[in-house]
Amino acid sequence: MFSCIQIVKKFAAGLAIACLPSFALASDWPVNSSPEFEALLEAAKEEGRVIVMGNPNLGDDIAAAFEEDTGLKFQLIPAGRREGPARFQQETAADNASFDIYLHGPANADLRDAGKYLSLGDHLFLPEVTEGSNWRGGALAYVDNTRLYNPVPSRYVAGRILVDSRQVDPSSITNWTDLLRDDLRGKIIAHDPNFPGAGQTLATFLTAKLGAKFVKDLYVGQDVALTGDMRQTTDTIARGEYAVALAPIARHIVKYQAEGFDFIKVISLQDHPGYLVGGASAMTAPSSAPHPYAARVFANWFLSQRAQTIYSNLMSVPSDRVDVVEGAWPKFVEPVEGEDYLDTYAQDWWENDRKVFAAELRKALSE
Amino acid sequence: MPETFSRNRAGFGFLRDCFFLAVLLLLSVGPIISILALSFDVSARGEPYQFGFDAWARLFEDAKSLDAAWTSLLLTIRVPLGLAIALVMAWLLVRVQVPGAALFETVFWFAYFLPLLPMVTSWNLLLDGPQGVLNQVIHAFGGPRAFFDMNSYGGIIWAHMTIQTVPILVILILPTMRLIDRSFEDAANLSGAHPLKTLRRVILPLALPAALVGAVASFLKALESFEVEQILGVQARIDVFSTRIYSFITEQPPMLSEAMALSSLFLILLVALASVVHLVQRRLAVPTGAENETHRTVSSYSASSKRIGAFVVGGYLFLTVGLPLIMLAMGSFMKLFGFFDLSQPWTVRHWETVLGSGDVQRSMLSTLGLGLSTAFLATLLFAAIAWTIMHLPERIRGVMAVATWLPWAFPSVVLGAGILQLSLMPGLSVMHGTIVPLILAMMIKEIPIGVHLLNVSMGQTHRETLEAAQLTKASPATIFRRIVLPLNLPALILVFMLVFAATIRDVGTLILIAPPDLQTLSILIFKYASLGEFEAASVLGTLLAILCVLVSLVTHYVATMNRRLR
Repeated sequence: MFSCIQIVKKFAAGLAIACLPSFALASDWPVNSSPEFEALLEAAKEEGRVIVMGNPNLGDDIAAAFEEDTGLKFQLIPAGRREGPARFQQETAADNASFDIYLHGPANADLRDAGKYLSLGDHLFLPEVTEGSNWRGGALAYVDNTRLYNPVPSRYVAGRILVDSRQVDPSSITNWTDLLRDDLRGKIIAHDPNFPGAGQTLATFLTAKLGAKFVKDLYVGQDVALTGDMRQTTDTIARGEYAVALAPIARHIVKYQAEGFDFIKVISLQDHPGYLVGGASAMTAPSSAPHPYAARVFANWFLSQRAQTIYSNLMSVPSDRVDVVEGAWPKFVEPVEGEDYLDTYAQDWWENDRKVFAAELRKALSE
Repeated sequence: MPETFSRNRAGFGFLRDCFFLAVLLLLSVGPIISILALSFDVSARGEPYQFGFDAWARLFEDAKSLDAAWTSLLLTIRVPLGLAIALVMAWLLVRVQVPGAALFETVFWFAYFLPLLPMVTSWNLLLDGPQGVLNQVIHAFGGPRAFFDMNSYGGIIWAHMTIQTVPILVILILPTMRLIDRSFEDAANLSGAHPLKTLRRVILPLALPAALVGAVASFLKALESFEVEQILGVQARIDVFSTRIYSFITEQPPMLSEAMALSSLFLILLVALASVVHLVQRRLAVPTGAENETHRTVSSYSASSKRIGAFVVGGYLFLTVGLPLIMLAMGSFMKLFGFFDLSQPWTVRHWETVLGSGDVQRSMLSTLGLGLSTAFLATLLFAAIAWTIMHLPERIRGVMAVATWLPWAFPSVVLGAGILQLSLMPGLSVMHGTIVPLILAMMIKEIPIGVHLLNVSMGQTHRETLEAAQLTKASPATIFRRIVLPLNLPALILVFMLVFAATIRDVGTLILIAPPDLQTLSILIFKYASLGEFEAASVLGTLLAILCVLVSLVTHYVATMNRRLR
């Protein structure tokens, strides 16, 4: 029902939030604290706020909860997929960051080696965060092997394919090589593998697992349509324009399925069922962060059950926390116990193997 | 006027002139030097500057970059097409004086203010592939299934022409059209010439100088635009100069030297075009009517010509502005953007979410605050620079006139990256994270059009007025404040609004430098759209459109009042 009054009320409330300083009081969070964390929080209160650069969807829910729990103000610099990393790298390299925390993918190794990151791992003081049994695999995952700079609290399975079951029988596609069938030529859409992001991650993964020739046969030989639009893979399947989409974004699939598009089916290919990604959950703090204590408070908070529950629901992805068990994410992004996934957020892959395969991929696609 | 009217150039006045020229050079030539220098930087990240040719060598080996540069040139075909349409529209509005001309003019302003991204998304809803609404209509009448395709060269050209090229050309040509002496046209009409013949043989030749300058400006802007190509070009594998540069800047790690080298290539073309503009301005002058005569003379075109004209302008504006706007507003109320066939496709959920968001409220305030402060400061500065340039010796004036065009030698994304680099340098880092780099960036970006328009306007100030003021021993500052500024108020308002519009719709320049407190609506729209959140982007786009309507109406009101007063 169209309710103008409701909209006006929300607008007025939002305007008040935008114009007035935060007077929120801290809630009962954390359930179990520690003296170190309390000292950190006290120091952070002197700084007053934390500035996070990350996905635009994180805004209000995270802000409200963080401000309520810590009494610190939360500000978001909404970061796009491509210019966000550029800004992060330029400001961090110049020791003049305008943000405290960057929530994105794995951070650059050269900046880490140059001492440009604030250590977070040794400033995690909340028992619920440091307790290994709270995390899948027995410990919080990090991109860096030093386990100091780049924690990743949410890893999920990507690299599935989406099928329009009206056009193609999902059970007829069981392996990646099935996508090379003649009847699928011109009917596949994928994210552009030429740019960093979902498209490049999938193509690099396929290069590693099946070789550059397969990737070329698939992308070029099958005349795969490429898009730079995150939603178009799912959107075009829902419209029936394409029969198969490679590595669609889970959040969009959830949205379309909720509106009754039950003919769009996610399938996992048996030979290589996907890989783990951390999405926008990997945290990095530049050493020049304007509010370093607040940055570490945010790190503790973001890794807690309360924050991970909010994050998982907002982004439709599961958390690595074992106590975040139900939410708005689809089953197909949950890692299956015992399955051997390639972890694309692990340092060895990110800093070494990925680069080798990405070079092979570039060469194959440009020939 | 400038040749004979001179000011006391000694002492403080001379110093002031030097100051404004230094500011101009700093804003226009400074970035060029920085970008050239960065293109020769071969140092690793975080290491001191090291000179080398690596980026340039890689650029000339990179077939993709060179292809992209050619594609950019190809896509500028929209400029002559847009110019032809704009000339006809301006003629109908000002010379034929079609019914509702004032309203139509406001709509052109409004069209220019509209944000690019939501409008492109709306065009996608209308024209893209089999699901495009207009394509479905055509198909229902027996036409092909996907008559139009937005993800194509044609789609990119159409989007630019409707959202940017035609509106800005109309805005730039209108003032010159108003100045054309009515007697030329009356003579043609009294001789029995058909209105279209009058347009072709009388009006077009007289409007040519302004039209050419506008066309060159549009041509340069066409080369640097990237948002539309970024959305519509990927699927059709259309890479242009600016998207290639954007790719370099957003690589991990960023390939800044390559981006700067590619930008520098464009500099040569720009200097050549800027020189042409300067020559055109010097050699071709519009024979103007007496100051108050043009607006008061009744149009000599017949009533039927006027009605047909109104139908043409109204039809064009409905098709290019009205339809996509309707789609934009509809999109903001859809559960799934573009899906009309859901059982219950409509919702107000996105409006509730967006309007209740503190980020959006801050964005609206930031957009207005940044737009108004930048426009105010830029207009004053540009006026001072234009005034200073006018009194320079002819040869230096020519060089300065060309220098004012230099900021358009590089795309806005490069300007943004350059300003970010600059604001991170030791000594300048104090301004990083403040509003200063944003205002600076937008000023640099708008210098060409702002200074140029004010130069043309001030050039038409009557010499006798200024000489009379000088005889009363008024200081140059007093003359500037009491005579030049009031007499050039229409141009000042025009520049103010153009800078304001450019600021509120800009994405490329500001996206890398906007601090958390100054995220504009356009930036927010870009970020939502880049994540595929089209419903939220449509709501924000509609909000920005409403803001643009209000600003357009204020502009129209101020301009009308000013014309009446004069």
